[in-house]
Parts: sequence; C-alpha cells; structure tokens
Amino acid sequence: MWHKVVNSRFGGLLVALFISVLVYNKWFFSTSIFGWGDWGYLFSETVKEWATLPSAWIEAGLGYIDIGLSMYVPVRLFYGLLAHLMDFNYFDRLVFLFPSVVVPAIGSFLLVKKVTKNNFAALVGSFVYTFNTYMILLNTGHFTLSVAFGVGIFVFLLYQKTLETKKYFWAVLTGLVAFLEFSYEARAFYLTSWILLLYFVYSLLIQQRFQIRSIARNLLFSIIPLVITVLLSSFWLISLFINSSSFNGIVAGRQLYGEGHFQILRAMTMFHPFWSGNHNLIWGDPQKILWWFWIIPFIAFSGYWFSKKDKQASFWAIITLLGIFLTKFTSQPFTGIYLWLYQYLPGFNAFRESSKFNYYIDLGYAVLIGLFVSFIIKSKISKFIKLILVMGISSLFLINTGSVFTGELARLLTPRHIPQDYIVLKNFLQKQPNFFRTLYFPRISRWGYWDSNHPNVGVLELVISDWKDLNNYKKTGLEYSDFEELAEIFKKDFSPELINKASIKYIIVPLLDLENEEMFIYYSDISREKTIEFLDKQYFLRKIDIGTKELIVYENDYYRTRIYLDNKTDVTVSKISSTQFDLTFNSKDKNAKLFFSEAYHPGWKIRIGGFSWWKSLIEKNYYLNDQYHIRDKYGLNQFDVTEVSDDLKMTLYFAPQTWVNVGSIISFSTLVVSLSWLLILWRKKHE
Amino acid sequence: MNRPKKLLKFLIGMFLLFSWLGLIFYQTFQIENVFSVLTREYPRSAVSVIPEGEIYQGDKIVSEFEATENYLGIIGFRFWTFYRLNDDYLIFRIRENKSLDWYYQNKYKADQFQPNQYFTFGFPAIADSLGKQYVFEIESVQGRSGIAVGASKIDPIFVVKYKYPREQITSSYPRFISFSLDKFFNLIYRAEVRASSFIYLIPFLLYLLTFTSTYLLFEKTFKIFTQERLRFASQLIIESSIDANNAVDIVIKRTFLFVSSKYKDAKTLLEKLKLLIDIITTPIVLLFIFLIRFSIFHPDLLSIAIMITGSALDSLFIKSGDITIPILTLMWLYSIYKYRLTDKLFFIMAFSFLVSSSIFYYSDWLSASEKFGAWSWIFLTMAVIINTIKLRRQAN
Repeated sequence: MWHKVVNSRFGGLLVALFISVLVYNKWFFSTSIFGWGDWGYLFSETVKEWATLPSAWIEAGLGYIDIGLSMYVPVRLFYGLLAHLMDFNYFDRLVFLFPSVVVPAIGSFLLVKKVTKNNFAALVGSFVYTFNTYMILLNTGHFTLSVAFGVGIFVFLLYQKTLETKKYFWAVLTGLVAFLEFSYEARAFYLTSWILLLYFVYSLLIQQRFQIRSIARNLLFSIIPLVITVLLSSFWLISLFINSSSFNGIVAGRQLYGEGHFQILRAMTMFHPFWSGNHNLIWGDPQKILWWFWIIPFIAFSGYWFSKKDKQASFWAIITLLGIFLTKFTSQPFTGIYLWLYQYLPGFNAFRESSKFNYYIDLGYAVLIGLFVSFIIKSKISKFIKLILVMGISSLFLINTGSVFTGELARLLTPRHIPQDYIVLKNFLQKQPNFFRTLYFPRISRWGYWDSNHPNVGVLELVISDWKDLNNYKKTGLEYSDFEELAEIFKKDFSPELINKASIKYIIVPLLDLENEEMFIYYSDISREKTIEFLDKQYFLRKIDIGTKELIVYENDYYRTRIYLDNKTDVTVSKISSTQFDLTFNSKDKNAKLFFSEAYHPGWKIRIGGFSWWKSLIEKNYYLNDQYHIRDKYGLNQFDVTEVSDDLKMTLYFAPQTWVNVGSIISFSTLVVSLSWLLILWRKKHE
Repeated sequence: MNRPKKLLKFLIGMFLLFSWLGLIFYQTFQIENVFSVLTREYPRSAVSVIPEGEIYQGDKIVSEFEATENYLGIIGFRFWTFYRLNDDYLIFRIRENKSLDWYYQNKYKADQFQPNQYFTFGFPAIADSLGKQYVFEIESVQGRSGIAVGASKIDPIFVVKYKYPREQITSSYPRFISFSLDKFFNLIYRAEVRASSFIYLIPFLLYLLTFTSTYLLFEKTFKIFTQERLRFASQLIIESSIDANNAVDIVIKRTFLFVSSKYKDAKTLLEKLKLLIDIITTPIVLLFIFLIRFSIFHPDLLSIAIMITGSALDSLFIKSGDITIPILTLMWLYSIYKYRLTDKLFFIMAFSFLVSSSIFYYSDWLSASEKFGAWSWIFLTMAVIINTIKLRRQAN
C-alpha cells in the first residue's frame, strides 16, 4: 500500500510534507508563542511601524545603520503588514516557522526526484535534507537561513529548467524567486549563486561540446536571473556599495569565529558539533559523534559509486566535497584556505564561521543518498530486504526528529507565555507620547516592550559595545566579577550624565523568568537580589510602582529627550521618518549645541533651510560641513549648528538613506517590469 | 643519455634531497616555533596524584619533577573534557618542593580546555630552576558530576617548558651553537619529527623509482661483491694472513683477527661469525634485488605503498604545520598522472581511511582520527575528479 501511495503522482511529495508537519507538530497544531535565544518576541504594536519604505537607520537600542536591510521584504514588509491583521504568534508562523518546514521539504523532494526519477529516493532524499542535525538546529532560531536555503533549491531547479529549455519565462521566474531567497538571507543566495555558477561551468565542461553559440545562449539565460535579482535588491545594494565604509567595521572587519568546533569528520558525518538530541544542547559545547552517523558518508558515496556514470551524480558529489571542505573551516586538510578565501574572495567575509556551508553537504548528501536508494530499488534483491534497507537509511535521519516531535529539544519548540508584568510595562510605556529609552539591568528581556519612540537597551549589551570604552573594567583572573563589570558603568562620575544624555528614563530589573527559559539574564555572580540592592543605592534613580508584581522599575527624572539644545533655547522636532527630522528653533543662541541621542554615525547630516533628499545628489555642499558634527564623549551625535546660520529651520537627515531611496525606485520599477514580462510570457505560453 | 640530461637528473635529485633536509628543519620549527623554548615531556606515571574520571571540587592533580633546564616558565597539561563545556574553575599552583609558599597560583575557567590538548599554565620564568625539584597542583574549585574536567589518558600527559631569554642564547656564538644543538636533540626524540622526515623523503624516493632500470646494472656487481666478501671470510678461517684489498675486507679481517687472538675456540666462533655475515647479507641482497625487480615490473604498486605509508604516518603522527598534506597530495597527483591510477583505488582508500578514522575516534585519539578523515576526503575528491574527467572524455 505504502508503495502505491509514495509512487502516485503527488503521493511521495505529500508523504514528505505530512511527515515534516508531523515532526514540527508543536508549531502546526497550536497557536502558542515560540521564542528562544535570538528569536525574540515582538509585540504587534512594535511591528506595525515597520511597514514603511526601506529605511537605512534602525530606531532600536541607541540606533544603528541597518545592516539587515536586505531582509526588508520578509522582516519589515511582510511582518509589518501582517502585524496590522494578527498577533506575533500568527505572523511569525506565516513568515518564518511554517515556510522553514514546508519549503525545504518540498524543494529537496523535487530536487532528488529530478535526479533519481524515483519517488522513494526523493522521499528519503527529503528526509536527508530536512532532518539532518544542521537543518534541525537551523530551525531552533536561524529561520531566515532555513527558509532561504529551502527557496535556494527552487532557484537551482528553475535555473536548471532555464538552461534546459532556454525560455525567458523560466529565466524571469528564476530571478524573482532568487530575489525572494536574497531577501530572506543574502548569504544563502550567495551560496546558491556558487552552485549555479558551478552548474553552469560543469554543464559546459561535461554535458556539451564547446560551441560558442551554445555557450553564449547559456550565458544569456544565466545573466537574466542575476540581473533581475540584483536590480530588485538595488534598494539596499546601492547603499551598501556607496556607504561600504559604514559597514566595513560591522561586517568585513570581523575575525573568524568558532575555530576548533568545525572539523572534517563532523562535516562528513553530518553531525553538528553541538547536537545533543535533547534540551541539553549548548552552543559552543562540542558533542561526541554518535556511532550511526558514521554510516552516512559510506551510504552517500556508495550512492555516487553506483551511479558514477550519471553526470548529475558527479556534479552533486563535487558540491558535497566542496561543502565538506568549507564546513571543516580551518581544520585539516589545507588549513589556510578558508582564511585566504575570507580575506580575498568577494562576499566570503560574510562567513566568519563555516556552518552555513553545511547547505552544500545537505543538498549533496540528499541527492547521493537518494541515488543509493534508487540503486537499491532497481536492484534484484527481494522486496523485503529493499524495504529494510530503505527504512534503515531513512531512520538514520528520522531518529533526529524524535526530540523535535516531542518538544524535548525545547528552545523554539516550547510554548512561551508573556508574564503579566511585562504587559503592564508595555501599557505603561505605550501611553507616554514623548521619546525616551528604557535600560534593562543586567540585560534586555525578550518580553520588554519597545518601539521607535521608546527603544530599549541593556547594560550588558552596552558595556560590550557602545559603552565599552566608557566602562573600562580591567579586572581579570580571580578578581574578575561579571556583576562588577556591569555595575562599573554606574560608578563613574559621569554616570548620571551618561544616562541622561542617552535619553534613559526608566531602568528596569527583569524577572527571573525560568519558566520561559530566560536563563541568560541572571548568570554567574549576577543575581536579581544583588541587582536590586545595587540600584536602590543609586541616588539619581527613584524606584516607582507601575502596578507590576515583581518587575522593578526605577525612574530617572533628569533624562534628556532625543533632540535638544544644551541651553534653555527651545527646538520643535517633527519626525518625518526614522532618517529625517525637521527642526524649528524658537530662538537663536550663538553658543547652543544641538544634541541628538542616537549613536554617533557620520551619515547624520544637517541641512539648513529647505530640504529635498534628491537634491543632495546633485548639489555640492548641500549639508552643513562635517566639521560641525562631532561624536561626543558618550558616543552620541553633537552638532554646532547655531553659530553658522540665522535660519530657524533645518533638517536632520541620515544621508545614506538617499541611496536607499534611489535603489528603492530601481527595485520597484524592476518588480513592475519583471511581473509584467512574466505575465506576458505566461499568456503567450498558454495561447 | 647525454651529459646535460644526466646533470639535470642529478641536480633534481640533489634538489629533492636538500629539500628534504630543509623541510625537516621547517617541521621542527613548526613543532615548536619558539626557538628559545626547550620542552620536556612526562608520562602519566610521573604524576603522583591523579583522580580517575572527573575531577570534583577539592580534588587535586599533584606532580613533582626535577627541572632539567633553567628558566622554567610553562607547564602544559592535557585535560579531558568529556566533549562538553565544563562550568568549573581550576586553580593551578607551583612551588619548589622545599619551599612552603606557592611561587605562583591562578584560577582558570575550564570551559576553554580542549579535549586531549595541552592547556598551558604560564608563570614568571624561574631563572635558576636547573636541578631543583618542583611540585605543581591543579585543584578543582566547583567540579561536580557533569560539569567537571578529567585528566587525559594520552601520554605524554604533561610538558614542562623552559623559556630562555633571547640575550642568553645570542650572547656568543658558542652559546648559540650549544643551545641550537640542545634544541635539535630536544626535538629529534619526537615521533612527529621522525614521521615527517619519511614523508619529506617521499618526493626523492618516487624520483629514485624512475631510475629502476639503472639499478639493474648494479644488481650483478652487488651480488658478485657480496659473494666475494663471503668467500674472503671463508678463506680467512683457513689462511689468516691473506691480504685484504678493500675497506670492507679490512674490517672483516680485523674482526676475524680480533676474535682469533681473543678466544681459544676461535675456529668455531669464526665459522659462526661467517654464518652470521651470511645471515645478515643474504636478506639485504635479496631485499635489494626484490625492490629492484618489483619496482621495474610494479613501480605503481611500490609508489602506492610508499604513498599510503606516507599518508598513514601523516595521520598518525603529524600534528604541527600544514605542509605534509600538500606535499603528499602533490605526490599522489604525480602518481595518478604517471601510473594512470583509477578512481576505484581512491574509493577503496577513502573508505579504508574513513573506517580508520572512526576507530581512532572511539579510541579518543582525535588528532589521528581527524587526519584520517582529512585523507579520506582527499581520496574521495581524487576519485570524483578522475571519474569526472572520464565522463568528459566519454562525452567527447
């Protein structure tokens, strides 16, 4: 019966989908909130604001340039629009949780089916891809990658179809789908692009004789999707290239990370270094490879051996070996190559650790193991032995799903509940129209409400980044204390002024919320009692009661607002967007300095008089000279504006936004043209 | 063969031979890249107190050793992490054994330890340590089941390093030469240096294999020479005054004369000595002939045997540097090109090395396991490339 079901037209695909949905039943058959680690919770009030045009500046924390603008479509647009209709637990499912299960399952099934032409092989291939330890762990928080990798398979299949058929329809569709992958995760698209390039080269070398015409046609149909994807992504690509110096320190300047965790054996056996198979999974804690994982490479490469005359098998074997080589990072063999690529290959510096290259292994093994299954099915052994072998191979991967199915893996499979105190806090903050920040000691809780008017910051996050130099805690060895390192920032002479200027109105001591596994807030020698005892002693803070039971809130009466002058002169601020503020001075004082409590960035400019963003592209000296914009001692923006002009109106603008605007126009035009072209081609095809 | 060709072949041979020496020097530098450090290794038996399994709160590792040099400054100890990040702190202390006060102590977080790797405890170098007895202790602060580290089972379990100041070494040429010799002998004891010396010799060996037909010319001469020496030894037993015309004969004659003058029952002893020479020379001659014959008819097999030995030695012993694998890989590629090796061979080797890798993995010999895995990947890559080239040829 099973044989008939799997071999029916959509049977195999439906079985693959059914099993995937069953494995992730916690997400599909409940409406609970899921969050863990970096995958936090967002109140729909926060997210509603995000459905705007692409913006280069993020109003969170102390503010920062948006290095994740590439994810505008899923994270800002989809999230933002859906937040108007539903709560986080629904829109998060629609944009990330469900696609991370469904898209890879379908994509991998179709890919293996395309190579093996066998539903059983495709089903097992789908298990290999979706239920290996790396992909399961991706679904514990890295959904952007998980979905993007899944979409990447469709990009490859469409590209293959484009080269086979040489039809513009498929080329345009490939470009649009590739843009979707690019939007979910630029790095995933980068990896897919290399597969496409290798496939292009491989096709030329293996599958065809060298004919200039054929090469030119292949090249044309390869360039069309690439051009469409790049043009659609102009809204952030142009800004990225023009303002590359702003990103260099954030992305390119990073050191390699995680050396010692990634080795060739773990890559070959598809055993994620930190896979424990249960809730004891700790990032950075390598586990011993379980014995049955050693069977996987033997099966995969046996699959290749038995199909070595198949040109597709060779291609996927090359991808697999490339994946293994890159995933093993800086370990043996050829230890220096990864670092060389990191330093010199354009785009490779986005991979400061190598786990993402598991994508190649997962795809390659899915196909090679699929080929092995296909070989078994075609062989002349008895049906019973075939069944045992196929079930045995499947079980190597299905066994990983046990803890996902039961929820024992915890993390993002455990339903969470918002503590009532945080709802009270949200209501308390929301009803205040003026701008201020909240500071969490020791660090931000995932339930802590924030929006663009009330960003939140955490002491821990600040003392390792923006306030690192200010804190200057130097004790080490036996004298080191985690709590002291955090508390140090409150013990300086300038501490009250720092907190005032950073617009921090409330200091919040989060709950010890072990029920929701917020175990990283209080750790080592940092306890809640010690925190409260310490903050009680700070003379510039006042404990207030906002109606919470356990959540402690302190108020700082002397906080400054986002934009102010350092004397009594008044300034009226009108926020146009997160990157544009119109300012009107009510009077002039030659000695006044303008303070802007966002983190310093040289991109913030002052335009005196009337403002149009596009004029800044053509007019020289459009903005106030940079010499009047300085980084103050707290890392915030300070402008000496009052002495240069008597004009009472000026605009504070984040200049990198100009190129985001130009790119957005190109992106939108490309989207309209591509969709129209696709529609015309589709109609032609059906006529 | 014309003269320039002969000269070129000689020069290539010399180049490979000198490269061998240079690479050994490079390898020793990789093993211990700080020239001014001398290292002594100690086995598990040198540790007086060593808890079995996890080291719990208050438990200590205690060891005493005699400093073999001045400037004692580092102790490296191999820990076992049970493949997890352990939330323990260890206190390391060291003192001279007759002193009551600890010379140095510090606390270290155990989550930074790597399984079976040396964790180095550094302290201010002791300039006059030579000949003195030292005691060191490693104590767990909060170790308990599931979060404690253990002592590794791999020998050597700890190393003691002496870090000489640069001025001390470079103050005069004799001092520099003397220290360099110390350093050389310090390194040559290591299996890694010996294994690498074989690996770096492989290019030269494979090069020699290309001249096997030339060796045939020597085969006959070699056999005659050996037979003549044996005949000379037989004649010596009868007539001890017989003249020796070459160096080997002189050595044989002197040995015989020494035995004759020393022992009463010399004749029997000399017979036995002759037999012994026969026993020693015969296998050498046979091995020489076998290698020549074998390398003429099966140079590919001999080449593969040398290469597999090289790859296995690399997996087992080479831990430092990153040059053995590229050199061996190049030699493999050369062998593929020269002997038209097939993908089947590489598949078999890849699977064999992967099996070996798993065996070493579960024996907790992780460095060997990783290297066998690395070689498995290299062999798989070679197999896939050979097969892909074959597919390309078929397509044409």
